[in-house]
Amino acid sequence: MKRTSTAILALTLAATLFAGCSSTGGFGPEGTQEVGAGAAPAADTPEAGPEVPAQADEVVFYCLSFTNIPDSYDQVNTAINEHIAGTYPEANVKLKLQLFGPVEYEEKIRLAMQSGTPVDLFTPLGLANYVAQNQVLPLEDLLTEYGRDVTAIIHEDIGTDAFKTYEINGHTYGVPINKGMVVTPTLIYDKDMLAATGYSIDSINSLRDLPKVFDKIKELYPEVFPYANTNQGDTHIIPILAGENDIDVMMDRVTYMGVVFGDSGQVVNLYDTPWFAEYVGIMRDWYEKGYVPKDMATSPSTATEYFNAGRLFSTIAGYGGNEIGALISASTGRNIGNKWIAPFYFDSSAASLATAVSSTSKSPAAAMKMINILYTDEFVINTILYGIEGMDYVKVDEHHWTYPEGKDVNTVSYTAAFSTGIVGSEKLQLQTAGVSYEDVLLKLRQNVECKRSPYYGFTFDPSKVVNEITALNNVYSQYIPGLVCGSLDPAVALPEFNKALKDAGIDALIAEKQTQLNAWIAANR
Amino acid sequence: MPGVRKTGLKSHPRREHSGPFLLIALPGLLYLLVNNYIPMFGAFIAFKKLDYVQGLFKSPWTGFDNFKFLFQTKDAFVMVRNTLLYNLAFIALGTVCAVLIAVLMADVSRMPAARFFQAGLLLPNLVSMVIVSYLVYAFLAPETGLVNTEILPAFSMEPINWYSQAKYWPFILILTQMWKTAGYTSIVYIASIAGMDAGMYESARIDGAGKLRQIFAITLPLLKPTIIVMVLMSVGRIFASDFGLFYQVPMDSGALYDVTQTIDTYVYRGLMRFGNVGMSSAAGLFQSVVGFILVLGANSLVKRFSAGDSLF
Repeated sequence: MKRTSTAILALTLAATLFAGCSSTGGFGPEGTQEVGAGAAPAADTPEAGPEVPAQADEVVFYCLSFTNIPDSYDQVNTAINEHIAGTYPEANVKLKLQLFGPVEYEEKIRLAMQSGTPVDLFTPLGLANYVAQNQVLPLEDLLTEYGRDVTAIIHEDIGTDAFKTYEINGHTYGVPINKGMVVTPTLIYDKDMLAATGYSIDSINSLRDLPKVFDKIKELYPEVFPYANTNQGDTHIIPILAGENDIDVMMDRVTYMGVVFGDSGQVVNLYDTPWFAEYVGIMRDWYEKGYVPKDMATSPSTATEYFNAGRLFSTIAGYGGNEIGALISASTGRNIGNKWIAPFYFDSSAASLATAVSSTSKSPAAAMKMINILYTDEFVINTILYGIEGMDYVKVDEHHWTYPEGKDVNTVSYTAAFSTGIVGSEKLQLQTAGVSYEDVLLKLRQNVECKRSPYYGFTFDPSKVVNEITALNNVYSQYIPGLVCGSLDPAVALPEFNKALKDAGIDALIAEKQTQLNAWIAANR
Repeated sequence: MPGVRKTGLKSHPRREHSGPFLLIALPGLLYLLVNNYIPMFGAFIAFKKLDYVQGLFKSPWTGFDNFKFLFQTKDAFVMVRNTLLYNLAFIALGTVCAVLIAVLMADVSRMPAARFFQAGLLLPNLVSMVIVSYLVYAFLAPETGLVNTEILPAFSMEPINWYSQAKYWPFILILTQMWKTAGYTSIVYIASIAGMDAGMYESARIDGAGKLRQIFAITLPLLKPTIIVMVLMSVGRIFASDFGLFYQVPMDSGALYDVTQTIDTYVYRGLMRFGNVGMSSAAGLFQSVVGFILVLGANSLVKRFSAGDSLF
């Protein structure tokens, strides 16, 4: 009896294993099947519109989507492929779009690459890590051969140096998403309340100008907070500092560890500078005077909620363009204005996400041909974003779209409307009704006109200091929210914070950044 | 029939009859094998620097490099200390609470209200930690929480900014954990009390033993094996922590890290940005190996002091 049961066990186990293989193997079957099927219907059907050639190279695009993932989007794939077959017959490619939410996105890419499931194009979140693990292909040769149109449009919209920040060890690994990259620290304020204080917006040009207005606000509206965060635990003072002092953050726009001031060429610890100490002091002052909610460092309630409740005068956050006030007014029903409060300093970290080609791609050439279409074809871009015209979205005018009558983002059968930062070129995207197209063009102009760091194009390879960065991330999240929101007393916490950074190895990180920066400067002189 | 039974009990009590039982266990065993044993094979990734082109097997070996980040800073001490101490507290207090609930429930179980109580005990365990964190927040929010707006003023005390005061959190976390898990853990004890021979209680009562006497002289000694098994099982998880409890409930507040940082939250915070498969495997392997050693150790201790009660 015992033996039989072991045998059953072994058999079942074997069956499971083989089943696993055939479903995830994916190396041959799908491809060969298609070639076979493609040979049969060679006879043309002339009146059936552009037929998608079955032997076209299929390019699988893992697309990040922030809306509900629709159950089925065959229609969208079919529409795009008919268009591609009709417009670019010589390219001989077809698209297989696959949407994933942000939670599972990177996991899905890893799984597909490990199991051999086809994936050609995706949007790496943190390109350097993907390069370090050999997950993406160098693109420079492919770009010259198959990517002339995409290169041209990116040079025009971002600048001729646009590809520099996606270069690692002499190879280009990504095609930047073509959109406005400048995020200017912007003061967003309640216009009616400001009018009641008697101050003019022209008199507010930096953080230091705000307390006088705040005092008046507190006096007039005791229930209203003069200031609250847009993002949890972040008063935005570090981006303001970076903009005001020409700080190149050396690719770290999350924790700002190891930065360069101006053209000094010296990597330093931002948190150990008098500038940081001063701003942390200002925030402590705001906290003690009650300008901000006491629980701002940890509270999940943010500026949007306070605005909605009519209990907030102002917030500061980074935005592209210059019309965010109008958008917030529309969504909150209040009279909100906006004003740039500090400049933006264009360094390598400003670069947007990029589209990359998977190192497991069967046909990198087809993948690049598809990138060329993705960035330059209005129909393909807008179909991926908004679905089928008339069914999933309707055009308001040349540049604007909206949901069909009675539908919204949750009820429409297909939409990836929040992926505008993932797919293609911003000026070819239809804009949400209400957004001014002028503002889109302004954003692209800012790309080219913004003050650039002399180290623009430097990228940092973190692989040698991963242990230090891991430890530093923890120190950062332990101290920074409390410091920048004023709930920690800087007299005590700031030295403690810097000591903890030293213990966690910030010096090693700075030294590594300096070495790489020196090498980059030497190579780019 | 009686004869068969007799020999079955005397000579080889297990072998002859084990076949059908093994069949019943088959799905479970298969599940264990597929879900728990086969993946163990992947533990070698902890010693690799993963390269996606070369694949899992051909990626270069890196020795113990992937483990270094766990011990890089003095955080290592804090997180190991927190993980161990909290788990010890959970095991000790959790057992006491669960047994207490079970003993109390044993006398209620015949009343119609018992169903209501049992459901009530289970309910907290079904609530997701994210929701628990907001329940806690409803009590402790600095500006709007029940404690600061109603309870403390009633005793004319100053409001406390709970989410930036580390000293209160060991108690808050333990209390939350007990609220959530004690009822659920008590089920095993309730079941084994229900299985105890009612005759013993009857004769104890005839001999004049009171309720307390019955509990200490009958219930607790009979519960001992169950308690030991349950404790041993939780000792195996002593290096793991409930991520939700330590990350969500304190609202990821930096000021509280000294008392809320555990191995799991450290790994999460540190590796979020890298997606490094090798380092995360290293952390998981480390927790499992230490847990395994602790179970072996605890088991051999039990064996020494009370041979019949050990797990294996």
